[in-house]
Amino acid sequence: MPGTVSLKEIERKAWTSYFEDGLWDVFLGAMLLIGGIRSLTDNVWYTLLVLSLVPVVPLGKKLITIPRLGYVKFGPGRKLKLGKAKAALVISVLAVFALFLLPVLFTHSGLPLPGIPVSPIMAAWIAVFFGVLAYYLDFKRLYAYGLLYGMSEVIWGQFGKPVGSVAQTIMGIAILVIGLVVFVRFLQRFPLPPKGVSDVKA
Amino acid sequence: MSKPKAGTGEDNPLTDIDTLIHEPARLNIMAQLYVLESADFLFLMRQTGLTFGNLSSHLGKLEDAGYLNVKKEFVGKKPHTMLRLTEKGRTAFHRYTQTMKQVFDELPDR
Repeated sequence: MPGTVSLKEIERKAWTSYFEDGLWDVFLGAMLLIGGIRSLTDNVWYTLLVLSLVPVVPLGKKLITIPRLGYVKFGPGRKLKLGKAKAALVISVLAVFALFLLPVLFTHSGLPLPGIPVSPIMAAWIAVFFGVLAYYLDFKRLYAYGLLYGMSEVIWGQFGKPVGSVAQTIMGIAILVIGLVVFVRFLQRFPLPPKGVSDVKA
Repeated sequence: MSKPKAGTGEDNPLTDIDTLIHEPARLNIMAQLYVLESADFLFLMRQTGLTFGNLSSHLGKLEDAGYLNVKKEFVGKKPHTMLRLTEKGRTAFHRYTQTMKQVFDELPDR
């Protein structure tokens, strides 16, 4: 007997189909991988490579996903969830900024610098942040990626270089491979339709 | 309010089912569009698993009934035909779900 069908499930399936292109996985994996290699080699060019990855997801969605999957506008409930995910993103960026700004402020004011355990705080923040995004975006793999990102931060804090860099690289490769597998499956499942299908009138 | 007469079918919710929506392919299309704001032809094709011709024919019937609104939009520079349920379509689908619920709620225990 097929699984239960509900309108909620139909909407969730439509929403999650946009994450079955593997682009976010490839992006997150590549970020971690290149970050690991950069810290191993101390080559600043890798920082530029990381920055060049930023347009991968929006461009990929536009050029690969939408032409294969079609275009959709979701209802108000989903838009609200997306808004919450964006708010979580902004808050977390501000929180990280504050975490790094704090030592600078203490140094400039001449006050003794309190011993802030940056690495465990960062690891916990990363895991929570990915968890919040996974929840609001209904993107389950993000829970696992949050744990991997957090773990790489803990290992980095505990063992430093090169163990931390190697761990980061390995975890990056793991996420990247998952992303590539999902991406290839997506391409096989959703080949490009004949031209003009999105423009078909009923 | 007058009591429905026996044998007239007035008290039977099954006679009240919207047969236009009841057809499985159209029910699938209506359910998809009910939970979304709007979608293009390709997205509906992917989600429902219907073929190009099949989907086109069912959409035509829904549009003729006034359940579906077809609107030309531009996404960037590319034209997109977006499909959405009209108020009439939303009401009809809601009514359909209520009727079906009623039918199954009234099933006698075996």
